[in-house]
Amino acid sequence: MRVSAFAIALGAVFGVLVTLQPISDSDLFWHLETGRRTLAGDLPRTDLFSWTASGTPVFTDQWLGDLALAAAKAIGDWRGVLALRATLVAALVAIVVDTALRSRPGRPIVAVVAALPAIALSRFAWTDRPELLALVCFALLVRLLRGGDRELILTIPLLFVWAQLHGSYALGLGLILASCAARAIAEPRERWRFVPIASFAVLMTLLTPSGLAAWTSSGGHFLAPPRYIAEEGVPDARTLPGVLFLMTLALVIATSMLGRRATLREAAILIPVAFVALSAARHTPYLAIAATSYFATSWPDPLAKWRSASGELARPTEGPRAAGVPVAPERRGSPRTDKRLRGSTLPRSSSGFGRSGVLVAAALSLAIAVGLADARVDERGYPTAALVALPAGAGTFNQYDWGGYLIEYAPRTPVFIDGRLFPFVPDVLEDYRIIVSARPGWEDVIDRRGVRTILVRPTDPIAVRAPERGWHVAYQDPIAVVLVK
Amino acid sequence: MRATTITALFFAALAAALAMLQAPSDSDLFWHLSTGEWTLDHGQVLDRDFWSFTRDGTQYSVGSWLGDVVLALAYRAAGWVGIDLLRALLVGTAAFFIARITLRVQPHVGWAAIPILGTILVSRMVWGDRPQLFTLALFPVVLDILLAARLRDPRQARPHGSWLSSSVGRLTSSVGRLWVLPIVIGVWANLHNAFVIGLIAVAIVAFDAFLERDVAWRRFALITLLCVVASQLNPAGGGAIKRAAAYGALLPGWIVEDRPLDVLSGAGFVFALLLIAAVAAAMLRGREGIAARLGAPLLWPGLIAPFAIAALAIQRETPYACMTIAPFVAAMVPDALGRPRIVAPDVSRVAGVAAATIVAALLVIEAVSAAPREPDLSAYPVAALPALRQASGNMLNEYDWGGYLIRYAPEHRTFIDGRGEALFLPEVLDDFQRVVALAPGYRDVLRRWNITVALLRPERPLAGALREDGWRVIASDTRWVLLSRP
Repeated sequence: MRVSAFAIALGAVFGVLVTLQPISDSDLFWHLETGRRTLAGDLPRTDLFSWTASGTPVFTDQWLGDLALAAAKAIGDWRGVLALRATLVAALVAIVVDTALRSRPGRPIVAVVAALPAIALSRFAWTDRPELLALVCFALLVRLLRGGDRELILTIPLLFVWAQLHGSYALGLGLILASCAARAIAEPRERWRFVPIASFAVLMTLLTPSGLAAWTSSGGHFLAPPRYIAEEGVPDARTLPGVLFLMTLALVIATSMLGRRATLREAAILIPVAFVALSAARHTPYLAIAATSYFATSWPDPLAKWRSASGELARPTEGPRAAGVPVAPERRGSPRTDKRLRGSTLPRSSSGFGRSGVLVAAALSLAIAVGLADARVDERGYPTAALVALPAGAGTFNQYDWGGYLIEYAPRTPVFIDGRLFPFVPDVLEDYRIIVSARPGWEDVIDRRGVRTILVRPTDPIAVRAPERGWHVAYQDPIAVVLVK
Repeated sequence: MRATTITALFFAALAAALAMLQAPSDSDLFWHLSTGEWTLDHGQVLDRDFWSFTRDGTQYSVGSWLGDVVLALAYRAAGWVGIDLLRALLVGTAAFFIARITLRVQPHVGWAAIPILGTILVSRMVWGDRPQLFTLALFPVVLDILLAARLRDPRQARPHGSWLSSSVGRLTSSVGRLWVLPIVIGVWANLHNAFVIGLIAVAIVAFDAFLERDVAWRRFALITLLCVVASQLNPAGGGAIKRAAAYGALLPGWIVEDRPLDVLSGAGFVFALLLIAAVAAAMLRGREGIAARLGAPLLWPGLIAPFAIAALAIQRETPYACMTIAPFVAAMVPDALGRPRIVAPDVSRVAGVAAATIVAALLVIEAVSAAPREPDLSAYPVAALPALRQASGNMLNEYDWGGYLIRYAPEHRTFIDGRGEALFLPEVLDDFQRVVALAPGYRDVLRRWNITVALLRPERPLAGALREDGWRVIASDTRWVLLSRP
């Protein structure tokens, strides 16, 4: 798959910019610890980090993502994690922009503007988790599904890798099946040739360390998302990501009603993603990524009236699109393999020495940016100073958001709960909510669980109530308070 | 008489029959009712608070004085059955116009029924007995008038023959009905604060008429201006629009119905299906296909996009979004699937009148035999009232129970109630949220307001804390606990 030099350059710009973002995601730490153990040949299949769910089976659906993070850390310490993030963001932006450029050849302004919603919305997922790898897989999948048969077959190995990286592979499988169905409808005489592709796609999702159980994680997240976790909540117009998503959705609605007639294949990609994106905040970037090529092919060219008539006629794909006629260049052969289109539709810089040069320059830029970046964990939101007051061994109740941090920085103190969520559902999570909110009966839960130390934010109700009930404040600062019975 | 009118009547009767079976239970109903009765008794609009001790004497307006009066008149006329009948009438009106709008562009009952029923089901989220019922009824009325006028030109689109008569007289008639809009908006502005969504719809259609160079665009513009002027004819004057704008900017998140829509909930799922179906059909047909089938291709995204976004941001707006989507889905989904159009048959006027009479008779029978005679108070601390009457001092109450207490325990003024954004923002609401959640400073709140009685849900952290601190449990149930300071 060739990516245009312009897309590579733009990807590099965002890759460089993302190095300015500090390392601070709480879940990164438990991903890293899991990855470290996997790297050592011991893939954790039961909980090893908590004292409340110790020995409980855990999902292994992100084992390869965890391993990638741990390998990056092992190679370059935190700078390695930063390098991985910068590379993935650069790849994501490059794929999205390149997909837009190929969808609207010769109109880079329209293509880049069409890619902006995807860049803006995915920016909130540019964190150090396997989810970022999944976004790259998704962008790649959308790109491949717009291609011909060869690209469709390539989606199968992609899905295999994706299924090892992150639970969102289920969306990928759904899109492959929907695309196969759309192609089968469009080509009824050869519809049976899509059956083995669809079957292999399903099979790929089962070839993971979890086997069938891998579906539990994806299904759980989609059918019953834990709304009390911010990213699993519904898209909220009171937040910037929510506003960006609603703007993107409005653009999808307006484009569908004002734009050209789309193909069934385009609809098969966009429609399922639109529903999934509506269901939870963390799914919203998928809509913007999936819509990029649709926007690019549908939106008008603001410079059209300044272009000469002869220039317009020289561009074979622009004419019918501008006239609103449906275009289906993906049928059977991909644009890249079609000799008539090769060289005439792709930007000049997308082939030969120019692209290689840009690629080298992009790699150098990323390397320099990562080298110059402040590659340390931003601990301002974590209870760094409070760690000394924590006892070793079981019995510490901790804030949910700090579980991952404690796994990394206080390994002698197993956690009550952390961002892995599912090992703790429903009993531990329910007890956590009773205690942290100081709901009636919280002292009974504390006694039943054997909690001896509490590490929470000073604004948490339990931090207010426990001292009133005789708990001793062992440590306190504006970030955290440690309470001892 | 057109068969579509009879069909719309059937949907209206169905919705009204369903609505009539619902017992009054909305917490805000009680303070709306008390407000309306006060207005009737005193001959003046209630403009200051005397039901809470936290905002006693403060001037306020919730912008629905006429809606409150109508509720009070219905109650005085026939008790709780009067409320049932008013609800059924307004829901039935809404359903009739939803069906009329949809059947106008899709006379095939099978295709039209799905989005119509979906919209009626979604609208159940605003069937609570409040002035919002007037908005539920009036928005589709406004939409019906607007769409009839805007989609009138047979050269733009001719979806089917019966509704689009080519006679000049009918064209004049559909445009002529636009003059009703300022009257509707003027009355609506006194019934419920959400009249602004009607104004927005009028403005969108007028702007579309201007962009599409509709020959009547000047008339649409003039009507919009008159509607804005008419909306000022209420006790708050221009403040009514300001209040609505402030509400939109606020995006209140402390009330469930004002939170973002969850598409995995019942109503949210139906809305999402309608929206996804609309986008899919639009993608597959494109602008030209929409123009050929429905006409006014700019109008549909102009209406659907903003109302859909509003629904996702504030879930109580979902029914209005569905009303804009339903006709589009009914017309464009069969079109995308290549189904042929049909023309609505005419039926004799006698048959139409007979059908209407039968439906009305059935509704009367239902009203007499099955409409609830009493409100459903199962969600309220009914059994706490005798003990509460014995208690004295300032009472901290649950937000959701404020309206109920205003009507059923008037001897105790509320801490907070459903007049939220009009009266209690931001200080009292902040204090309420802080104290019930045991946030830092909760004891200061109890002290500052001199709280001596608390009527709370037992699962509230404060309820447990007060018990632990020695407050006396005067009475309790599985759903409430009444505590008194020692």
